[in-house]
Amino acid sequence: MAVSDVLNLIQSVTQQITTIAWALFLLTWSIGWTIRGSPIPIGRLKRAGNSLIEDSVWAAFWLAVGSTIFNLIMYIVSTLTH
Amino acid sequence: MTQGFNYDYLVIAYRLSILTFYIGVLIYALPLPWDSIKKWAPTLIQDSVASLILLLLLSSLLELSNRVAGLIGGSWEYFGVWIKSSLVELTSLKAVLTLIESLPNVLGTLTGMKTVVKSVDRLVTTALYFFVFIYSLSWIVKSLGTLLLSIGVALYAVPFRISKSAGAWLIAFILVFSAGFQVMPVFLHTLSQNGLLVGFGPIEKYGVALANITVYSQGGRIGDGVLNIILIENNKIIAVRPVTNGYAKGAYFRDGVTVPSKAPVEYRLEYLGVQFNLTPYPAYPSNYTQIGGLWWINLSNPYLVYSKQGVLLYTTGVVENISINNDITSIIYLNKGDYIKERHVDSCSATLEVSPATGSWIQGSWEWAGLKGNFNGFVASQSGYYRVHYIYSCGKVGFPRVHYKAYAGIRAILESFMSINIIEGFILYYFTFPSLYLLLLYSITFSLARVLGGRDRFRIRIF
Repeated sequence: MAVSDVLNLIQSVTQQITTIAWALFLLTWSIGWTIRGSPIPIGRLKRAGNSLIEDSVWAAFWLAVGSTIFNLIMYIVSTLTH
Repeated sequence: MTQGFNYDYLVIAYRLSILTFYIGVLIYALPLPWDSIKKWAPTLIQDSVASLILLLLLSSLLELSNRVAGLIGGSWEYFGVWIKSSLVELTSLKAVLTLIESLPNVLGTLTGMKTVVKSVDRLVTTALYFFVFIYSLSWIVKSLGTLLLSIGVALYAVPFRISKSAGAWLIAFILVFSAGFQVMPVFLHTLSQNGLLVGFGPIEKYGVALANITVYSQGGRIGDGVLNIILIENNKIIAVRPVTNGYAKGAYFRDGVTVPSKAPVEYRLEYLGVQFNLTPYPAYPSNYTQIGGLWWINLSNPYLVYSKQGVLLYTTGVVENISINNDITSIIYLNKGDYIKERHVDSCSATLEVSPATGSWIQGSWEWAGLKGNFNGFVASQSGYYRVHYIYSCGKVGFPRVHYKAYAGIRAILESFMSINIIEGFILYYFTFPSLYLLLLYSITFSLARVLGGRDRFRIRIF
């Protein structure tokens, strides 16, 4: 049925994005610290590095919160339907 | 609502909102320090939370909308009853107008009225189309409402706000219009009242035709008389028409009397205080001959021997033959106890001769419909053939004074319908107020859609 195909597609895409997000978080965090700690004296570069670090931490935070909440919802729904 | 929610779309909406959330997180995690991209991240996360909340609240919102409608006094049953009765009213009005339009244009008596009928017909047709539109729209909202809500929330949850305004508008539309339709009859009834269509009932039920009616006695066409038309179904006198020279006179149409076209009637003649049931009895629509759009019928009674202005000759026997020169000669077979009677008005003088004179005579006076006169009668004491000779001469004879009425005084009804007040009321109730109300609902839909998070224009946003 078309609907379940669409649902499976969305679910697989979501899982892929989650994996990529975790990987990217680590990558960005490293790049951010690298840029921030580099001996290049350009202020804008340092600010860019700062924002990268900050955003990557936000990403990690939301990833954790999101997965927790969604897994909680799934758990509640599954216990309710049984 | 007639169905539950369509879970397919709700699950799609749920998965999409989760997807939106993770895309937002992904954008946060991207090693690109540019604000134009990064600003999407918090936006997407907020959108996903909003669409999740909307998804969870959807059935409560629908319930709230129905509750509000119930508080004001509306319900789907009330709306259904109102729209169906309005459609029935309009359809029967249209049927009556079609009937009137199909009457024959006898010698130009109907041209003016037909123009009026055509304009009214156009008005009624437009109102009918409008109400059919309202009915179809209400059916969509009622039967497909939950499905459209599910689709709306799925559209709402699509990432990057691609179809967020479309989804918001769809949800707002269903919520507002489902309450709106339920409240519509309450709104309209408080603004105006019905009762515009009195007087058309019998015409629609029994039909109308123009009849050319001639009344005969045994000795030819009668003179004057009063013709009562009685509906057999309920035994009510639906018309009282004058008869002159044997022809029944119509009220508004020169050559025709309006009679029911779909129901049998009984014709009764009354003159000088005596009543005669006329054959065919009862008169079905098939008893008429339809020529040139008119329905022709000849009515008679075997006991009505002769009648002209001011005189009446009748019997309970059987008329064998009759000849008319200046006076009337007839052979009538009478059983014992049968009679031959004559009545004449004061301004007439009449003589009744019966041979053989084996019987008794009665005399007296009568008064009827503003006329008065005397009567003579012969009661036979033995059975046999009797030769009757009737001589009369009349001065000026008055016409019966009775309350005459027509079955379908169509022009009278149309004229009252065409009065400004009724036309105004019709247009107000069937056009203006419903349109205003629907426009009001439409603008409320847009406001609610903006609250839910759409814009008031459909715009596809990509990055």
